[in-house]
Amino acid sequence: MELTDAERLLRDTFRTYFTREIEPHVPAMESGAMLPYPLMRPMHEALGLDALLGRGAKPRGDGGRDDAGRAANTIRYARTTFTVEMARVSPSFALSYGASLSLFAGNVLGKGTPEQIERFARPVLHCEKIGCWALTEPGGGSDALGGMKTTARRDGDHFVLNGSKTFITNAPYADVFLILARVEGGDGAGSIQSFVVERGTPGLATGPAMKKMGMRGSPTGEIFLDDVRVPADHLLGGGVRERGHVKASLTSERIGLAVLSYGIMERCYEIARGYALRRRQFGRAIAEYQMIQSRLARMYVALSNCRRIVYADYLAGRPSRESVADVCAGKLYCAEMGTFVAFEAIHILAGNGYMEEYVVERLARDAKLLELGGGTTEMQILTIARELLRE
Amino acid sequence: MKILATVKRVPDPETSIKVKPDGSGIVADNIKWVVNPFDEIAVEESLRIKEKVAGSEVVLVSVGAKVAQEQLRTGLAMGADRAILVVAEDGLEPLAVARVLVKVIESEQPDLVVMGKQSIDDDSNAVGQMAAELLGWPQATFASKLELAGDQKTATVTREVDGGLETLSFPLPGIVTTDLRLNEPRYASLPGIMKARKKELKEIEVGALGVDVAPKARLVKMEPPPKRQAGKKVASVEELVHLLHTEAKVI
Repeated sequence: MELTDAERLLRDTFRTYFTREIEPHVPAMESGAMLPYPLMRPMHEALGLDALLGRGAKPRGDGGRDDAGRAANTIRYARTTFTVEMARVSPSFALSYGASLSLFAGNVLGKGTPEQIERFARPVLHCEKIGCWALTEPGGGSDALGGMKTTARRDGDHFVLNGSKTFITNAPYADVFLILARVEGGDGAGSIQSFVVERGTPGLATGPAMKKMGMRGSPTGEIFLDDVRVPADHLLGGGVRERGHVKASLTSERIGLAVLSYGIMERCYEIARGYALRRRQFGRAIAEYQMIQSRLARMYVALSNCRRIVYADYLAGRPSRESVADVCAGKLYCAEMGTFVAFEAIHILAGNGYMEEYVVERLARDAKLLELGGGTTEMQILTIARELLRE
Repeated sequence: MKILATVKRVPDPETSIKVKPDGSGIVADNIKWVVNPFDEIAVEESLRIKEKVAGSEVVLVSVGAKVAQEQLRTGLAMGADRAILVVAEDGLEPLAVARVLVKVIESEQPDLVVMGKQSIDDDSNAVGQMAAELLGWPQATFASKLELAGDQKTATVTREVDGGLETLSFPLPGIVTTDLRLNEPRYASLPGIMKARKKELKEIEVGALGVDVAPKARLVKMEPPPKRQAGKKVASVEELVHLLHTEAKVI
């Protein structure tokens, strides 16, 4: 991709920031000795990120060649590249950040009332508070919507929530929760609605951070709701009528997860390439052997294709407004290729690749989550097939 | 208050540098270029003064190839107001750079010039001193602290010298060169980068300044440091002492 000077400076600034300010903390975050959250507000201040977010921050501009069009495209580049650079250093950090800002605050921004945006989304967008978005339940992952057991019962000017959630990113430490629940009785009975619940509300409890294969720097946990009373004005948007609003949230989550996969892939590819050029066996750099070249070239094929997916808007110079099927296809492909490239990198580094010191084993463990979270590969396929066959 | 800060384009200190096979210089392709770290400190210090003294202006100046625009844009993204690039495609010697800077300083008439104490590529550590001498201005080099009097007529600079600190006070205008501990430079912010796109960046051809920039020295050869040799294991203290005396000749 041919970048403008401003775009190159953005990428270099992000990369320098994450390398200097976040990477040194990765071992402590991975071991659970340190949480990612205290690093987020300083990051926003140093990089002036509050400006990147919030309502109206989405680049408008129609791809015109005038200055406004170019500036809008640079902002598009910045949004994607910020996440890519974060994921190169710590996918866990990116996951916790994304869950708070995109899933919690993004949903409140998109569907909340002006009061809810000001009160709940703004502090999370500025990383003064941490949010989480709670869909999955112990009995329902892929079938989270149809099988949702968490309920919200209207009681005067309150709702009473009951149920439990699991595998929720940031749940152990979140200040604010966006809880999805099925409305029981009264107006909108049977519909799935979102409720903002603040930590400290009686009846709300969270479990400890779960032990995971990867993404260990990102606390994940359970939420228990036992007769949690929330004022009716905590119902997101005063009740969302539009059908499929949860699916729209999933679509935006999927776009973000594909970018995490791409960041992982880019770093793994670079580490493997650098290693292959330096590592000598039988008197030559291993990059001179065709078997290694073949692996590197295939990794690059994945990287190159995924780059065109995650930078589609930037490359088009305008919002590409992809169909749901295309978003799912992009998420599926990037997630599978993320795992593929990371494991290929381990293979090229061989013994060293299997060691923590060389980073790729951590990135490979992290990559696998992206085939599962935001809908498993099977759910992407199901959605794609449904979209394709719709009359 | 008007502050002039220098910005030199140098290879990233974390890049591995290769010397050209003929020893005429370094291989410039495929290396990352950055703002000289000491100049970054100079820009930061200038911005801190601007934030304290209302109505101040920070002007950046670079002497170098046209591509040094990138480094000036970085400084503008940190918050400087405008930039001047004196285009000289061939590298200039310190005295030539000092003469060029004097021309720029004479036309800009800043109250204070803040410069890196040296650039991390050539390590000459000379331009600040030479420019002050040519201008007849006071200078304070290797500053680890810089304070301005309330009326901004005098500056007080702390320097880290062997065995302690030295404090100098001098009337402005003057030249200050920065040491590592003066401050920690900020990152260019996203809004700063967007704004920097439209800030003024004026280019001047070095030939138009009418100063003598002809080199006085000739680069004979550049060579990489010798590769580290394998160590030697010794069997006893006696053998070690013997070898240190006869072979290494250090005792």
